[in-house]
Amino acid sequence: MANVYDVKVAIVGAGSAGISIAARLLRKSRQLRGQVLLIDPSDKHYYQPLWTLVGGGAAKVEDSVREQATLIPDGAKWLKEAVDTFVPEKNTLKTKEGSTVRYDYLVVAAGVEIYWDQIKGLKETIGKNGVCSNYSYDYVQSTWENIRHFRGGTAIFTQPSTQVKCGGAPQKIMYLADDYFRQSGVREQTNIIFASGLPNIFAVKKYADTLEQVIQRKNIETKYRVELVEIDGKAKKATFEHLDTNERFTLSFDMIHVTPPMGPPAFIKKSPLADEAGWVDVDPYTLQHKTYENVFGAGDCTNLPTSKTGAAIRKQAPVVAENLLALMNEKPLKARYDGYTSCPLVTGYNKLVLAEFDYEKNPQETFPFDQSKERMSMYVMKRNVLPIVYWNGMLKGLM
Amino acid sequence: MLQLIENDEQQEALRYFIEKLPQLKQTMESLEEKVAFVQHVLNDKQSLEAMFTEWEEKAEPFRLTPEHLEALATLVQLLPTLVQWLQKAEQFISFVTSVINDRESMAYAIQGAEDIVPIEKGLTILKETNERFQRERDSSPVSLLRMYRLLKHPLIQDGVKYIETLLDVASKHK
Repeated sequence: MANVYDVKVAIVGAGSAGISIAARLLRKSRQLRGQVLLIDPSDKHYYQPLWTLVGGGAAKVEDSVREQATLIPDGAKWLKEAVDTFVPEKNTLKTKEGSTVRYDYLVVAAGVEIYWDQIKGLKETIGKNGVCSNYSYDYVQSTWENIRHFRGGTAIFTQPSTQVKCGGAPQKIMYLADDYFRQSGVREQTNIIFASGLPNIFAVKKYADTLEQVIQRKNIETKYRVELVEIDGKAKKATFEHLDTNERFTLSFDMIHVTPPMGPPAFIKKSPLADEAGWVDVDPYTLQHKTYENVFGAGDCTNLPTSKTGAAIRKQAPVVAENLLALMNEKPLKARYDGYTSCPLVTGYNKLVLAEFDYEKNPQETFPFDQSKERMSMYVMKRNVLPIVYWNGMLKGLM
Repeated sequence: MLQLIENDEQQEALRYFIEKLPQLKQTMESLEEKVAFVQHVLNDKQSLEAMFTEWEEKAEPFRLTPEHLEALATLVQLLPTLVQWLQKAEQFISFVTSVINDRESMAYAIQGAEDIVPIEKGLTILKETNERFQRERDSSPVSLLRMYRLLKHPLIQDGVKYIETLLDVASKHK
């Protein structure tokens, strides 16, 4: 139903960043109770980092989802509608359902959009014909079905050249699949190919060195700077384009795990809040919008030059909350985000390299040991500890 | 004086003063009453005596000394740091409370712990051992040869080697 809302703080997106920022604002300023409006059309909230393990058969999909209503912080309101238009000059936004929201301050944390359509034939065959993807709640279990029932042949794992949420995920599932193929005795009859649009296995040398060793140990064939452009599920053929030469080539597969291309959501891309590439244009350190000072951005929808991960959001949320409150109180914006991000690179069942780094790609490790080594302790942390920290720490504005 | 009153500004002020006279009178009366009350209280030695005695009696058990005042000053100095720690403690307590009250997370944690430490497997081994021990219990003495054979078991070998290493390390740290 079309309504008019007048709020102090509007937060677009009730994902990791939106809820975390709302919780932090309400913990720090009790006067904001009833004045924070979260706008998100989804009634489910997904802990997507678990999907790598779900696809690898090491976690249950139902542990990755909760009802959105149970996670809205106490003191915040939830408008279950989708934003359509931003009018930042008038401190207003409009939803697809026709509602108008007038705000004093705006936080945009709407995540990324998956462009399933950009790969010809993908939508028609995803979830069947050996084609799977961990990047959707609906298809993640098809990955495990494919790995579990694989009887040898060619298994392809793709990564697009675009930014994706959790840049390490496309290769993590490949390492789990390799492990499982060895356990089930089909590895000898299997050729694993990693076809990536990027120029290397990982952007940070320290972790790339370890991953190169993993690739070698697991005897995985790599193809870099190649983009999946077309897929024919029935014929089990995937067509790639070399990004430097534009030459096309086709590979046959018995299973293929597709990481689809991703980009900014359409409603942000067309708005005055976006930069040339379509992302929310924010200062990389204060996270304040470069043009509209009462607007902040956080998470995957921003143009922050760092890897898009939940761990990055964990560090961005306190900066946005603190700087937004400082702006409200006419104080200088002191909180700074240094580009921290983290990628728990699962390299097999019970093995994980915990990559943590900043804008300059300098390792910024939490633990007092070399995190570039594959460790079981870090795997246990990802699988058993981090989901609990997410639901009860991050989304409550505590961690 | 008359010349002064002819001045516009003075006349304006006088007009304002006359207009406000009723309110000013009321305010003055109220102020007078409050001053009178304070004067009465100050003259009421009995009430003051009782009040101060009660305060002193309440403060007496604390036996405040100059050291207490110094400590209070130190505490005030430390407050910015202490508040930081208290905030962290509060966040931690809130997190633990949230986990405890979150059934899904508790179930997930318990399941995870069982996956890491195979409790059920351990219990099965213990149960089977107990049953077999009860069933096959014999009264024959344990021979030296049997002890020797037992010592060769890899688990015992590892255990002995571990104890040797532990004693070696411990002696270095004496």
